[in-house]
Amino acid sequence: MTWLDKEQIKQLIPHREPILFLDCAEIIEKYHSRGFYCWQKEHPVFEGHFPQFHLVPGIYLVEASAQLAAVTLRQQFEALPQEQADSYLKGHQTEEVLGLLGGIRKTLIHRPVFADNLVEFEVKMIPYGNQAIRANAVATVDGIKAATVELILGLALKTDLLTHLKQAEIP
Amino acid sequence: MIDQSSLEQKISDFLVSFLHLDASTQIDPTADLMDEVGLDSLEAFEMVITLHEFLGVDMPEDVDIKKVGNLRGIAQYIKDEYDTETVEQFMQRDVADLAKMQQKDDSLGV
Repeated sequence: MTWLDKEQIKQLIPHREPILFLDCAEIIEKYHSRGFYCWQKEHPVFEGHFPQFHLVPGIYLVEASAQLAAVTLRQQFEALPQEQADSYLKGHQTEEVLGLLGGIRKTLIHRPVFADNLVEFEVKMIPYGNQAIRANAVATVDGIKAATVELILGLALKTDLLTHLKQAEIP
Repeated sequence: MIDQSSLEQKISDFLVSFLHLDASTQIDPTADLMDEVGLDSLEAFEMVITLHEFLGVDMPEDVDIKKVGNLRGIAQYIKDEYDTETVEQFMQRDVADLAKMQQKDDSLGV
Protein backbone atom coordinates (compact mmCIF):
# COMPACT_ATOMS: atom_id res chain seq x y z
CA MET A 1 0.00 0.00 0.00
CA THR A 2 1.18 3.50 -0.82
CA TRP A 3 -0.22 6.70 0.64
CA LEU A 4 -0.12 9.86 -1.44
CA ASP A 5 -0.63 13.31 0.03
CA LYS A 6 -1.96 16.26 -1.94
CA GLU A 7 1.48 17.40 -3.06
CA GLN A 8 2.32 13.91 -4.33
CA ILE A 9 -1.04 13.79 -6.14
CA LYS A 10 -0.22 17.11 -7.81
CA GLN A 11 2.95 15.55 -9.17
CA LEU A 12 0.92 12.82 -10.86
CA ILE A 13 -1.99 14.79 -12.37
CA PRO A 14 -2.18 18.40 -13.58
CA HIS A 15 -5.42 19.31 -11.79
CA ARG A 16 -5.30 22.22 -9.38
CA GLU A 17 -7.75 23.95 -7.04
CA PRO A 18 -10.61 24.56 -7.32
CA ILE A 19 -10.91 21.51 -9.62
CA LEU A 20 -8.56 19.17 -7.78
CA PHE A 21 -10.89 16.81 -5.92
CA LEU A 22 -8.49 14.63 -3.94
CA ASP A 23 -6.99 15.48 -0.57
CA CYS A 24 -5.12 12.19 -0.30
CA ALA A 25 -5.11 8.73 -1.87
CA GLU A 26 -4.07 5.22 -1.00
CA ILE A 27 -2.90 2.82 -3.69
CA ILE A 28 -4.15 -0.47 -2.27
CA GLU A 29 -2.82 -2.71 -5.03
CA LYS A 30 -2.35 -2.73 -8.77
CA TYR A 31 -5.26 -0.80 -10.34
CA HIS A 32 -7.11 -0.53 -7.01
CA SER A 33 -7.12 2.56 -4.85
CA ARG A 34 -9.00 4.79 -2.45
CA GLY A 35 -9.12 8.54 -2.28
CA PHE A 36 -10.65 11.12 0.03
CA TYR A 37 -12.04 14.58 -0.49
CA CYS A 38 -14.13 17.06 1.41
CA TRP A 39 -15.80 19.93 -0.43
CA GLN A 40 -15.60 22.63 2.23
CA LYS A 41 -18.43 25.12 2.44
CA GLU A 42 -16.08 27.87 1.21
CA HIS A 43 -15.59 26.06 -2.14
CA PRO A 44 -16.62 28.44 -4.98
CA VAL A 45 -19.07 25.91 -6.47
CA PHE A 46 -21.44 26.50 -3.55
CA GLU A 47 -21.92 30.14 -4.54
CA GLY A 48 -24.17 28.75 -7.25
CA HIS A 49 -24.96 25.13 -6.31
CA PHE A 50 -26.84 26.16 -4.30
CA PRO A 51 -26.84 29.46 -2.40
CA GLN A 52 -29.52 28.18 0.01
CA PHE A 53 -28.00 24.72 0.65
CA HIS A 54 -24.59 23.49 -0.38
CA LEU A 55 -25.04 20.38 -2.51
CA VAL A 56 -22.01 18.88 -4.29
CA PRO A 57 -22.86 18.55 -8.02
CA GLY A 58 -23.14 14.90 -9.03
CA ILE A 59 -20.76 15.46 -11.91
CA TYR A 60 -18.07 16.47 -9.37
CA LEU A 61 -18.32 12.95 -7.90
CA VAL A 62 -17.71 11.60 -11.40
CA GLU A 63 -14.76 13.95 -11.92
CA ALA A 64 -13.25 13.01 -8.54
CA SER A 65 -13.54 9.32 -9.49
CA ALA A 66 -11.79 10.03 -12.79
CA GLN A 67 -9.03 11.95 -11.01
CA LEU A 68 -8.47 9.03 -8.64
CA ALA A 69 -8.34 6.66 -11.61
CA ALA A 70 -5.80 8.94 -13.34
CA VAL A 71 -3.65 9.09 -10.19
CA THR A 72 -3.79 5.30 -9.88
CA LEU A 73 -2.81 4.90 -13.51
CA ARG A 74 0.15 7.27 -13.28
CA GLN A 75 1.32 5.76 -10.01
CA GLN A 76 1.02 2.36 -11.67
CA PHE A 77 3.28 3.46 -14.52
CA GLU A 78 5.86 4.65 -12.01
CA ALA A 79 5.85 1.22 -10.39
CA LEU A 80 5.82 -0.92 -13.55
CA PRO A 81 8.91 -2.63 -14.90
CA GLN A 82 10.16 -0.63 -17.89
CA GLU A 83 9.14 -3.13 -20.57
CA GLN A 84 5.54 -3.28 -19.28
CA ALA A 85 5.33 0.49 -18.96
CA ASP A 86 6.61 0.82 -22.54
CA SER A 87 3.62 -1.12 -23.90
CA TYR A 88 1.45 1.76 -22.67
CA LEU A 89 3.81 4.64 -23.09
CA LYS A 90 5.03 3.70 -26.58
CA GLY A 91 8.40 5.32 -26.10
CA HIS A 92 7.21 8.40 -24.20
CA GLN A 93 8.19 9.35 -20.69
CA THR A 94 5.68 8.70 -17.92
CA GLU A 95 5.25 12.39 -17.16
CA GLU A 96 4.32 13.09 -20.80
CA VAL A 97 1.23 10.86 -20.62
CA LEU A 98 -2.11 11.67 -19.00
CA GLY A 99 -5.03 9.39 -18.23
CA LEU A 100 -8.06 11.28 -19.51
CA LEU A 101 -11.75 10.69 -19.07
CA GLY A 102 -13.00 9.16 -22.31
CA GLY A 103 -16.47 8.02 -21.36
CA ILE A 104 -19.02 7.83 -18.57
CA ARG A 105 -20.75 4.48 -19.03
CA LYS A 106 -22.96 4.49 -15.96
CA THR A 107 -23.60 6.85 -13.09
CA LEU A 108 -25.96 6.46 -10.17
CA ILE A 109 -26.23 9.12 -7.49
CA HIS A 110 -27.64 7.22 -4.54
CA ARG A 111 -27.80 10.04 -2.03
CA PRO A 112 -26.90 13.74 -1.94
CA VAL A 113 -23.43 14.85 -0.85
CA PHE A 114 -23.23 18.15 0.99
CA ALA A 115 -20.51 20.62 1.92
CA ASP A 116 -18.19 19.34 4.66
CA ASN A 117 -19.07 15.67 4.02
CA LEU A 118 -15.92 13.56 3.88
CA VAL A 119 -16.27 11.50 0.71
CA GLU A 120 -14.34 8.29 0.23
CA PHE A 121 -13.82 7.09 -3.33
CA GLU A 122 -12.77 3.56 -4.21
CA VAL A 123 -11.78 2.68 -7.73
CA LYS A 124 -10.95 -0.62 -9.41
CA MET A 125 -9.61 -0.55 -12.91
CA ILE A 126 -9.27 -3.02 -15.75
CA PRO A 127 -6.72 -2.16 -18.42
CA TYR A 128 -7.37 -3.53 -21.91
CA GLY A 129 -3.95 -3.85 -23.49
CA ASN A 130 -2.69 -0.39 -24.29
CA GLN A 131 -6.02 0.67 -25.74
CA ALA A 132 -8.23 1.91 -22.93
CA ILE A 133 -8.95 1.44 -19.25
CA ARG A 134 -12.28 0.71 -17.62
CA ALA A 135 -12.73 2.06 -14.10
CA ASN A 136 -15.47 1.21 -11.62
CA ALA A 137 -15.79 3.60 -8.70
CA VAL A 138 -17.93 3.92 -5.60
CA ALA A 139 -18.21 7.08 -3.51
CA THR A 140 -19.33 6.73 0.09
CA VAL A 141 -20.07 9.11 2.97
CA ASP A 142 -19.93 7.63 6.47
CA GLY A 143 -19.94 4.17 4.88
CA ILE A 144 -23.16 4.86 2.96
CA LYS A 145 -23.02 4.60 -0.82
CA ALA A 146 -23.43 8.01 -2.43
CA ALA A 147 -22.52 7.28 -6.06
CA THR A 148 -21.45 4.45 -8.34
CA VAL A 149 -19.69 5.25 -11.55
CA GLU A 150 -18.27 3.32 -14.48
CA LEU A 151 -15.78 5.21 -16.61
CA ILE A 152 -13.56 4.69 -19.62
CA LEU A 153 -10.16 6.33 -19.58
CA GLY A 154 -7.86 6.80 -22.50
CA LEU A 155 -4.23 7.79 -22.57
CA ALA A 156 -3.23 11.09 -24.13
CA LEU A 157 0.09 12.82 -24.67
CA LYS A 158 0.37 16.30 -23.19
CA THR A 159 2.00 17.44 -26.45
CA ASP A 160 -1.04 16.26 -28.46
CA LEU A 161 -3.35 18.16 -26.11
CA LEU A 162 -1.31 21.32 -26.57
CA THR A 163 -1.52 20.84 -30.35
CA HIS A 164 -5.32 20.55 -30.12
CA LEU A 165 -5.35 23.67 -27.94
CA LYS A 166 -3.34 25.65 -30.51
CA GLN A 167 -5.65 24.48 -33.31
CA ALA A 168 -8.67 25.58 -31.28
CA GLU A 169 -7.29 29.11 -30.70
CA ILE A 170 -9.13 31.89 -32.47
CA PRO A 171 -6.66 33.79 -34.68
CA MET B 1 -23.30 -25.48 -35.91
CA ILE B 2 -23.93 -21.82 -36.60
CA ASP B 3 -23.07 -20.74 -40.10
CA GLN B 4 -20.90 -17.72 -40.73
CA SER B 5 -23.49 -15.66 -42.63
CA SER B 6 -26.16 -16.04 -39.88
CA LEU B 7 -23.63 -14.97 -37.25
CA GLU B 8 -22.54 -12.01 -39.37
CA GLN B 9 -26.18 -10.99 -39.84
CA LYS B 10 -26.76 -11.14 -36.07
CA ILE B 11 -23.70 -9.00 -35.42
CA SER B 12 -24.88 -6.58 -38.11
CA ASP B 13 -28.24 -6.32 -36.27
CA PHE B 14 -26.37 -5.77 -33.00
CA LEU B 15 -24.26 -2.98 -34.55
CA VAL B 16 -27.27 -1.31 -36.17
CA SER B 17 -28.98 -1.25 -32.77
CA PHE B 18 -25.81 -0.16 -30.96
CA LEU B 19 -25.24 2.69 -33.42
CA HIS B 20 -28.95 3.65 -33.49
CA LEU B 21 -29.04 3.28 -37.27
CA ASP B 22 -32.16 2.71 -39.33
CA ALA B 23 -33.23 -0.92 -38.80
CA SER B 24 -32.99 -1.62 -42.55
CA THR B 25 -29.29 -0.67 -42.65
CA GLN B 26 -26.96 -3.41 -43.84
CA ILE B 27 -23.31 -3.23 -42.84
CA ASP B 28 -20.78 -4.70 -45.25
CA PRO B 29 -19.06 -7.55 -43.32
CA THR B 30 -15.66 -6.43 -44.58
CA ALA B 31 -16.15 -2.69 -43.97
CA ASP B 32 -13.68 -1.31 -41.44
CA LEU B 33 -15.73 -0.10 -38.50
CA MET B 34 -13.47 2.86 -37.86
CA ASP B 35 -12.36 3.88 -41.36
CA GLU B 36 -15.55 3.07 -43.25
CA VAL B 37 -18.47 2.79 -40.81
CA GLY B 38 -17.27 5.85 -38.91
CA LEU B 39 -16.68 4.75 -35.31
CA ASP B 40 -13.90 6.53 -33.46
CA SER B 41 -11.58 4.57 -31.17
CA LEU B 42 -13.67 5.17 -28.04
CA GLU B 43 -16.88 4.16 -29.79
CA ALA B 44 -15.15 1.01 -31.03
CA PHE B 45 -14.01 0.24 -27.48
CA GLU B 46 -17.51 0.89 -26.11
CA MET B 47 -18.96 -1.36 -28.82
CA VAL B 48 -16.61 -4.18 -27.81
CA ILE B 49 -17.54 -3.79 -24.12
CA THR B 50 -21.25 -3.80 -24.99
CA LEU B 51 -20.82 -6.82 -27.27
CA HIS B 52 -19.35 -8.79 -24.37
CA GLU B 53 -22.18 -7.68 -22.09
CA PHE B 54 -24.64 -8.84 -24.75
CA LEU B 55 -22.78 -12.14 -24.99
CA GLY B 56 -23.06 -12.45 -21.21
CA VAL B 57 -19.32 -12.91 -20.70
CA ASP B 58 -16.53 -10.96 -19.02
CA MET B 59 -14.45 -9.07 -21.52
CA PRO B 60 -10.92 -10.54 -21.57
CA GLU B 61 -8.15 -8.07 -20.77
CA ASP B 62 -6.14 -9.03 -23.84
CA VAL B 63 -8.89 -8.42 -26.39
CA ASP B 64 -7.37 -6.77 -29.45
CA ILE B 65 -9.76 -4.19 -30.88
CA LYS B 66 -7.91 -4.26 -34.22
CA LYS B 67 -8.86 -7.95 -34.62
CA VAL B 68 -12.51 -7.08 -34.31
CA GLY B 69 -12.16 -4.22 -36.77
CA ASN B 70 -14.97 -5.38 -39.02
CA LEU B 71 -18.10 -7.47 -38.80
CA ARG B 72 -16.39 -10.57 -40.21
CA GLY B 73 -13.56 -10.19 -37.69
CA ILE B 74 -16.07 -9.97 -34.83
CA ALA B 75 -17.81 -13.17 -36.04
CA GLN B 76 -14.49 -14.98 -36.19
CA TYR B 77 -13.53 -13.70 -32.75
CA ILE B 78 -16.81 -14.92 -31.22
CA LYS B 79 -16.45 -18.36 -32.81
CA ASP B 80 -12.81 -18.68 -31.74
CA GLU B 81 -13.23 -17.48 -28.17
CA TYR B 82 -16.62 -18.73 -27.00
CA ASP B 83 -18.32 -22.13 -26.77
CA THR B 84 -21.28 -23.19 -28.90
CA GLU B 85 -23.77 -22.62 -26.08
CA THR B 86 -22.68 -19.00 -25.62
CA VAL B 87 -22.83 -18.37 -29.38
CA GLU B 88 -26.27 -19.98 -29.65
CA GLN B 89 -27.57 -17.84 -26.78
CA PHE B 90 -26.16 -14.80 -28.57
CA MET B 91 -27.99 -15.83 -31.76
CA GLN B 92 -31.27 -16.21 -29.88
CA ARG B 93 -31.11 -12.83 -28.14
CA ASP B 94 -33.27 -10.07 -29.51
CA VAL B 95 -31.15 -6.99 -30.22
CA ALA B 96 -34.01 -4.94 -28.76
CA ASP B 97 -32.73 -6.33 -25.42
CA LEU B 98 -29.70 -4.10 -25.85
CA ALA B 99 -31.59 -0.94 -24.91
CA LYS B 100 -33.39 -2.68 -22.02
CA MET B 101 -30.11 -4.15 -20.77
CA GLN B 102 -28.44 -0.73 -20.69
CA GLN B 103 -31.38 0.80 -18.87
CA LYS B 104 -31.71 -1.76 -16.10
CA ASP B 105 -28.07 -2.74 -15.49
CA ASP B 106 -26.90 -1.02 -12.33
CA SER B 107 -24.23 -3.55 -11.41
CA LEU B 108 -20.94 -1.73 -11.24
CA GLY B 109 -18.69 -4.47 -9.98
CA VAL B 110 -16.96 -2.70 -7.09
